[in-house]
Amino acid sequence: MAYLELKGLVKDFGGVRAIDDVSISIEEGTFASFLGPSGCGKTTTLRCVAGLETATSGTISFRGRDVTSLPVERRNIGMVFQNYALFPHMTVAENVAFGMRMRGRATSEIDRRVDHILQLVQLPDHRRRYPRELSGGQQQRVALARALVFEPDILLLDEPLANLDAKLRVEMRSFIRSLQKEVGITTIYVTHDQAEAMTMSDVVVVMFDGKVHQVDKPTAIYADPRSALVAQFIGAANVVPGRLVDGAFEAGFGRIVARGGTQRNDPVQAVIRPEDIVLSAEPSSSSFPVRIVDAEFLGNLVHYTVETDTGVTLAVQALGEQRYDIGRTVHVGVEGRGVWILP
Amino acid sequence: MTAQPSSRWSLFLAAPSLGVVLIFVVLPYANILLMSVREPSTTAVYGDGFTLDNYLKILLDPFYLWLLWRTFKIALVTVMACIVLGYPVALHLARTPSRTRSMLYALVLSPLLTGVVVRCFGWLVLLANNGAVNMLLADLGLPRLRLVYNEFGVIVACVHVFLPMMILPVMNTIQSIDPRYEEAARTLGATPRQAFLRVLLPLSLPGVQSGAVLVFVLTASAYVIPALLGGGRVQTMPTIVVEQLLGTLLWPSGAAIAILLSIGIIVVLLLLLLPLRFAARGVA
Repeated sequence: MAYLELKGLVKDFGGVRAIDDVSISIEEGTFASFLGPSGCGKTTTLRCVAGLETATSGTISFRGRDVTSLPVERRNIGMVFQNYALFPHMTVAENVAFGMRMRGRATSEIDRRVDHILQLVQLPDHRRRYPRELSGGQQQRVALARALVFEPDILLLDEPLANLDAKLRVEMRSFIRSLQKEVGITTIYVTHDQAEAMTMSDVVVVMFDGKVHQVDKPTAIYADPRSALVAQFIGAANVVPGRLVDGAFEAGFGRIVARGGTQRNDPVQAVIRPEDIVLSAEPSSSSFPVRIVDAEFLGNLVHYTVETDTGVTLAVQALGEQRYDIGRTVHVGVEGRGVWILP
Repeated sequence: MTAQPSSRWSLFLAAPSLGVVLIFVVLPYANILLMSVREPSTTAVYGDGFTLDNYLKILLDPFYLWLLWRTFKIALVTVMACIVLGYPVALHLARTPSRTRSMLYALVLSPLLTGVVVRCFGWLVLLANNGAVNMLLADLGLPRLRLVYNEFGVIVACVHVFLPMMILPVMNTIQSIDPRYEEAARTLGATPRQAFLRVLLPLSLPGVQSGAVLVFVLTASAYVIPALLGGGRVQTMPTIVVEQLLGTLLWPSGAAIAILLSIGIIVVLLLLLLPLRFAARGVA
């Protein structure tokens, strides 16, 4: 049985459909990211799970128990908000203790647990501080402590790293992930940052326009995207129209062996990652000629834009120095993950 | 262009308002202060000599101390009534979706559109011995009540007139509180009532504090309301000041009472602010 299950979840805001028929099941102990551009419905989905929004239709169940109409305070969730929402009139210890106070736990137990969790988030000496006396990263860790200390059934994180600077964001990424593993809690993490989703998650849920496009492991999301939108949102991608003939992708300018797709002669779309395209001065049996139309030198790599003789432009990423000048004709082959045919 | 105007420039820009404060606040106060230490005179506003007799006479007379106490009692009861009546309105206004909000907001402000005197006569019509309320009570076979020309009538009118001064600052404060604090409390297991009592209420206290200060000061220094709804039977510090100035023409004595009232108001405000500041200590 799935730990968390959403079935046909729909949420309308005054005629605007924020999420449309979202169905996902998440296993116990999983770190699942909801990834998508702003306005794709990922936060609304999270708020429905939390109970902060009431779904227009559909059901939400925890461990097979329907919680769709259960009020927030009875769902036993831990949530971290984008701005942390630490209570400004309470000290760190009072903030962290709040969840247990509401559950009527004994003072001695509260004290012990607050101490323990503050050790865990590496803020043992900050009990008496007020939130405004803490840095962004420290506030973030207090928010995590406050959400975890009463042992909720599920941890919900709403873009928790969005307000931190780039360096701290990378640090907090691994901190949150290792904390989640240590506690072993099922976690939903909402983000628009693909790097966060890819590095932290067991499962990534990609959403566009209120709909779930793909639910998969990070590697599968990247290598085998289910739609052109997913391919282009996660990393860079060349989406090339063509046909599938005898297991090879035919695009007018050449034939390339492809993965995915079924044997048919219909028009298809292929995804080719820029780093899987190899340029060389000499032709080979599986290569085709292209002309370099642009080159950007980025230090460790070069971004080329090349054009085939049928007028299709492709983005190519090559490591090392820029070896080909603009205007030159070179030969292109596809290696690595190769060509992926979109279903 | 520099980002920060020079201090000379900012002083220049502030000059008009500083001038207004100087002419209409500082100078009159200085004048009253001066007047309060002069000897009374029957031929001029005040005599030539300087004296502290005006103050001694008031401070040694229990009547004036009782009057000060009554003035503050009326003001404090008004403040409490405004908190009890105004807070729910402010909360509702601050957390209601926009369509009904502007209409409610206009309703809250509407009493301010009428002059105080007109509104006081309105209350007289309603609360007088032959007024609307007592006629209704009589029709229902209930005994008539004395609703005006006593402290009750004065407090009712003060609450009505000064209620917006409580609602507006409280509403502004609640509006500036991120609703996610309440949501966070709910996710941590608080019922809506607990989230209100533990999070929203303490965070909104600075607004209540501003409102309480405004209402207290306005009520303690109100003249028209106690004069009209007290009907001469409810003396307060401001009515006695006016009586000294216009009735008995004892300008130095009236000035001394006014100064003592001001000092008293400042002392009470400091006492009022202390516990609230302590309660809201963590709020930036």
